[in-house]
Amino acid sequence: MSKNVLKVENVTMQFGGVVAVDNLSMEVNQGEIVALIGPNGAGKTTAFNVITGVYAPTNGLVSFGGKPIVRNHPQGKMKKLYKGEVATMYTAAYIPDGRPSIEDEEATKIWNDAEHARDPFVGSDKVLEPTPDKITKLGMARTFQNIRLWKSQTVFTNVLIAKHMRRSSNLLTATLHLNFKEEQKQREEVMELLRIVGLEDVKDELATSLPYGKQRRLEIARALATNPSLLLLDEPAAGMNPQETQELTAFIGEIRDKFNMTILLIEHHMDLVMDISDRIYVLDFGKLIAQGVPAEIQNNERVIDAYLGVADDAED
Amino acid sequence: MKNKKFLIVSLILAAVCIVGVLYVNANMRYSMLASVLQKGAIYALVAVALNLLNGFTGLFSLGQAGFMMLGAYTYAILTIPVAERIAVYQYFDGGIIQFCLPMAVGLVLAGIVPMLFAWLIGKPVLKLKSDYLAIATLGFAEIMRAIIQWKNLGPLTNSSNLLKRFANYENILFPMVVSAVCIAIIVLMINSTYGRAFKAIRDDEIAAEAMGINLAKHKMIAFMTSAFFAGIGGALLAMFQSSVQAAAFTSAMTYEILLIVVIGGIGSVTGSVMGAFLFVACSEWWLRFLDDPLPYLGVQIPFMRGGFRMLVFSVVIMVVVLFFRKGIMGDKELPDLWKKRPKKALKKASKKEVA
Ligand SMILES: Nc1ncnc2c1ncn2[C@@H]1O[C@H](COP(=O)(O)OP(=O)(O)O)[C@@H](O)[C@H]1O
Ligand SMILES: [Mg+2]
Repeated sequence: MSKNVLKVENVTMQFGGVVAVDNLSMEVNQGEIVALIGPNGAGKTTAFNVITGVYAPTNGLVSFGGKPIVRNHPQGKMKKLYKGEVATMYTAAYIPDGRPSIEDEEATKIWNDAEHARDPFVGSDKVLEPTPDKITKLGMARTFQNIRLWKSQTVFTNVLIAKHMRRSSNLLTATLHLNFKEEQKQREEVMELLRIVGLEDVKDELATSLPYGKQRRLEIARALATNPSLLLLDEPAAGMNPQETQELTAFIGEIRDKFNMTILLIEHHMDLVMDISDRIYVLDFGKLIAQGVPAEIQNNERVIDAYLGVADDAED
Repeated sequence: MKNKKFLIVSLILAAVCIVGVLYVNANMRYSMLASVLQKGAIYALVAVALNLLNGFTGLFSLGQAGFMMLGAYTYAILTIPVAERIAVYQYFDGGIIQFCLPMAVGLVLAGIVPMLFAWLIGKPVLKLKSDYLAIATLGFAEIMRAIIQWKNLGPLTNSSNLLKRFANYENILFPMVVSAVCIAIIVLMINSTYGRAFKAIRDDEIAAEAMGINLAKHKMIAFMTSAFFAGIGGALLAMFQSSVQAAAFTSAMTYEILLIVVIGGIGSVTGSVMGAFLFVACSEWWLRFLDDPLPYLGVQIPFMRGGFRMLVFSVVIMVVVLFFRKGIMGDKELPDLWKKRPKKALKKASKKEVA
């Protein structure tokens, strides 16, 4: 199996009394396209928000490239309110089962190593809740379900701004424009990206003046400009007609091949999902109800009941 | 071709301005015009500094008068000649500071001290959402004003008494040149990769953060930069008035500056500059006649007496704010007015293509 890129373990996100994501575990491996599907309100976007640092989860662990990046356990008021599972797993009070007896040193060591490989902070209260920019810097970039382009900026500048993160200039050199070489390089890279996503001809237009489909492409270009290794797309085909959806499907495949990208996407267009996904996770009411390759998901009774049946109806 | 035309026009404009200013400097240094030019330049600087925050970074701060006051006091306290201190600090035995720094050093420190204060309050305050940020910064400015007037700080700040006799400029070009240099630096910053990041934060904070822009850090940079230049502006204002008193740096001063930013256009540097000169010219000069109770052409016009000017002024401002919400310039700069046309044509062409 290829290298693991993203690993989500026992993630629960509870807002007040609402459990939006309930003990979700999933992983994405190098070069894969993985889809996260499920009915509206299932908690898909919330899962994205936890992975990218917008929300600190109530409980759980997220690792990226083998390193833990997000880790939390129910704290403060949530201690009492918490409705999820494994509440002590990421605390010092964690009592794992299946631990070999202390006398058996060999087995204890193997078991210990395995536990630490799973969670380097096992048995501690360690909390990791970086801001989204820190996570993006590690090589994860996303798009938004409700498009969030910078509205006063042109198409070109929207992508250029995303290059800010990987700058080598500081405030002084940038203000005095001593970084003109880097700036030049950035601008060339942005042009190249716009060429790839097919927005070269509209580069000087206001981002928000573009038609919907192009705005979604622009968001993808902007995310790519941060040089990610993992791309998260939240409903990239929302609001697109069948033809545009088909083009987008091909486009996502191209991105994977061209940039050697790993992709996690949320989508409702089942043609697209079944067409390009290597594996699929299905969420319902925050819980994972199925996972597998497209053929397995298509024939899964629970998925059909909870989602696919409904989705088919909706499309008719 | 368009560029060339624009370059020529702007060169001519600049030349006219410079010649005009030099003429004023040579022949009418004590005229109303000279005074408007100086104060206008100073207000232009503090307005652009405020615009950097409110207009470009989307941080609604109302602490500008406070930072100006810190700058003005820093400059005044540090540059009063030792021999004069006994007269200035007459109630405090000449004060506790018994040295005098050169003008240039004082001016730089007048920027650095408010910048350090901005850094101190920035961490808690910049986390606040818009309205709360405005209240917090306004509160900060008022508290600083009270502290400076506090009796026990008298040996340092001269309490509520005037500070005067500090180092001052001879040539009325001085505040204009300093202000121009500072504004140029701010413009360079706005046009750099940092300025683009500021605008991204203003347009959509969540997207900015998701694209790797550290919100806390960038807001802090904008806040400190704004405080730095507000402080320089405060020092220049002190020089222009030849005296400083904390009582002058009220929230009303912040509102004046905010008004200039709004009139000029939120997010437009050239707008703020034009707004500053317009505002100063109107409030100090062009509308003065309204306060004059003397009869015009033999007719005694009712209402024309002291204070009427401020009333008319308020109405003008209200009209501007109500009906020209985007100000003179919107978020455009002067050069954009030339660039506009080709862009529009392009838009039309691409719309056709889509259809
Ligand atoms: N910030 C929030 N505060 C409270 N509830 C939220 C918040 N974000 C999401 N939710 C709730 O979490 C649930 C899942 O929402 P979401 O993740 O957007 O679903 P999906 O993307 O699968 O359609 C919904 O019931 C929604 O109301
Ligand atoms: Mg969603």
